[in-house]
Amino acid sequence: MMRQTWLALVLWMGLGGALARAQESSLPTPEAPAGEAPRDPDDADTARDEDAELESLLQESVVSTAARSAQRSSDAPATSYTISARELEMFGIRTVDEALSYLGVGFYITRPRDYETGIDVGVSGLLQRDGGRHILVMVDGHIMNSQDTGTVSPHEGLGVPLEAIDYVEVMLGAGSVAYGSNAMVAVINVVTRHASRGTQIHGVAELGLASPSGYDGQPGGGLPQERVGLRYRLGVGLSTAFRLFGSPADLTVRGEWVEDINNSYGITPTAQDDFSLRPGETAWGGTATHTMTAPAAIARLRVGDFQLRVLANQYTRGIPLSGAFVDPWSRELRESLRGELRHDASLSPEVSLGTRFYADYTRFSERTSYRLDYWCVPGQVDGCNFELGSAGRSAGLEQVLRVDWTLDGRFASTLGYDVRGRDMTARPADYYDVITGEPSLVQATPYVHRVTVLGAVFAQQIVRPIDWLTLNLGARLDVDSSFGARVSPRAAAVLTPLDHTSIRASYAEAFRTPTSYELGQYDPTYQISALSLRPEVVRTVELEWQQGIDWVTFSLRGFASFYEDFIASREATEAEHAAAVARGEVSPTSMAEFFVRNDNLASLRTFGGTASVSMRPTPGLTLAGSFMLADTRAGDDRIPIMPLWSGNARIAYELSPNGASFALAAIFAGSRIAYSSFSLVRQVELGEQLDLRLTFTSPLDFVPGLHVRASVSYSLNGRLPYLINGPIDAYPDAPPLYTPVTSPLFGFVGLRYDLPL
Amino acid sequence: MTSRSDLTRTALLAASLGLVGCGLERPPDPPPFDCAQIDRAEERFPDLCGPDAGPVDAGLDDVTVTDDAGVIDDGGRATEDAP
Repeated sequence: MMRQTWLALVLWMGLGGALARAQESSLPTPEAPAGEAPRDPDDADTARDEDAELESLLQESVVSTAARSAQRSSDAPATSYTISARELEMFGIRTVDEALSYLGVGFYITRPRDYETGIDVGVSGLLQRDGGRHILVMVDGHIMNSQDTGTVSPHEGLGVPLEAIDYVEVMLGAGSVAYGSNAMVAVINVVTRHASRGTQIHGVAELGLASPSGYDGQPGGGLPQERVGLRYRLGVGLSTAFRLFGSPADLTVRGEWVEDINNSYGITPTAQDDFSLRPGETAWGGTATHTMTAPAAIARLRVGDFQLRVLANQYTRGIPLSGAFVDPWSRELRESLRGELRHDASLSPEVSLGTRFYADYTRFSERTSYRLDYWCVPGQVDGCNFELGSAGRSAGLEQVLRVDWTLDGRFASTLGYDVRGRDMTARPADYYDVITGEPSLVQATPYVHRVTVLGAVFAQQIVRPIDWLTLNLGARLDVDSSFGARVSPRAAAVLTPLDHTSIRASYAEAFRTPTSYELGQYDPTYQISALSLRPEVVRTVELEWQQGIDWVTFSLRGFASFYEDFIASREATEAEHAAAVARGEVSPTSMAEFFVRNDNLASLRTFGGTASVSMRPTPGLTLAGSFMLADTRAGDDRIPIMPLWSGNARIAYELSPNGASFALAAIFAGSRIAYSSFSLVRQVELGEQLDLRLTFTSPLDFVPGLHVRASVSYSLNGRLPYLINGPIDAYPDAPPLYTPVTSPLFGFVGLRYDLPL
Repeated sequence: MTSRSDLTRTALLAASLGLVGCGLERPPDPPPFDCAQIDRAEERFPDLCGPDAGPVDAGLDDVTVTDDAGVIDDGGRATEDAP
């Protein structure tokens, strides 16, 4: 493995040298405008300014994620849309997941904040307890999914200061043809701002309060030791444009600190003996609290055609409802440091070459505390503090060559490759005695180290043989030491028979690599490692109609998706257990029947559709919304958590462009099958959901550059579809105990200051 | 004057070296099993250190994972879905 790693490094050095030589001979022309020589879609740059002008002319979004080149959203080979920074501000959005929930199409997102995941992202009918593994999230084209676990958290843990975001672009559907693993149901690209001219400093300060809630999930309740929640966000930034070494240059730096000392919320106490109780406790539950802290920073330096980007963040949240109730040991921690060196060259009017060298470090750990000895390793009779964690390191090189043969987008080719090395070290099951703090005295603590290598080539051809027909054909071959090889094809045809009318039909396949963590994780008390897994695969067909009529635009989209080889847990066989014993993972005297392992098990299928509409009947007034109806089944069974129907709606009025605004946004969803990790719990359904958010924004004219934003939110159903406890055969009348919405009623007010120097 | 080629190579090297040394450490193996060195050993390891225990031969081979351990559905504990 070491030899492979060094070989990969040497290869990168050689490629880097060759690349540099090519750059020296290339023409130092700036990016070509959209619609002419294609450019790197991952780059905000001046492209966004051009896009804004183009969008106003076209009266529709210009997108670039689906085809890796700029085009009208109605021409894209997949459903695509953007959410602007102005919309984030106007609707009181605080995180990317809130933007997708309140302003997006096709998303249904919940924040269980439990032990398994802090956030579950459902897209186009698929929602799994997967830590975001089935979506691909990027920041300026840089993949944010952890390379060792595949997970991504598009909330405060994403690590992008809110004011750094210029816009969020979303592509629905299978996107592996362009980006490889994880792009199974959606690709989300967060594009950050840059300095365009002069120097500015930025500051933001927000303060929020949240009402305590009771056992019923509603505000108030009068529980003992209740508290009002306090959340604050502080951000600073600098953006400056200048000349360096005779080339135009700009520097953008932004940092943010978010801390949430959450309001108290009630959990109905239960005296069942299978909950972890500390000495002196007679019941599990009561008044819960937790905290969350999320500092993040992003920096970008551009000199001529070169760009250097660095992102760093840390995210910590308490996990009060797993193991012992509100135990200070229980928490989730995510940290990352990411860097990227990029070069964009226009080799001729027709040809451009984009090169990215990227490197990531991510670290993850989760803790919980058990007071029942059967959750712990032998000898820990008083209980244990448990921790799992991993650290991933990766580096890679990607080059993309774009050729617009006719300079009008009628015949455009894209070719590229991506090579990546990944290294994971993991400690998937550390058990410490709750009294002494000692690790296991009899069992070696699990440790996993894996090095994997990925190589991919991809190609795409856009052909517009006649004015009203655009064809997009592409494929990507991924060769990965984690599983072998996988080809991801896509074919799309877009008909534009009339102005502002677009009909798209497409077929695409996508996959998700089994991650090093899924392959290697084991636990001496219940799990053996899988060692070998196939990639998860989805095949999707879509048909979409987009129409613009005067001040109304709408989209209707239907889709069918077929998922295979989803990775899940199953009971281990005796032979597999014996092999694990031979590897030293588990005790030879342990019993095979109590062990599980990961395997490719589940097949799902989804039939569904989305509808979205946007109306601007008078200047300043916007009405918009989206609706999704999607039925996902494993066999005949509907999957839990995901509602059959969901959507959002909003209305906003701006008194003047970029002036004061009032906005009301809503999320709604149908009833949902509640999820329980305990399979004996009977199936129950949680009722409908309605969340409302009212926001006011305005510049404060007495201080140029100063803006105020105030918002209040309310969740009518204060419960989430995750069961802490529920009816079982022995207790059929036990009421379901749902995970609560931790802050059903909250508000905040903030000031933003942009000071030109 | 430093060429772009040199700059690129330096950046590649710096980024690669930056990845070294950030992994999780391998945990140490348990110490030799000795009932006399373990607090409340008789209570915590009755099979090994209790009155009916046979000769102590340390470690893994003599330890039985309890029948209750390893329940698949653990009521809130991470199982297959934990990252």
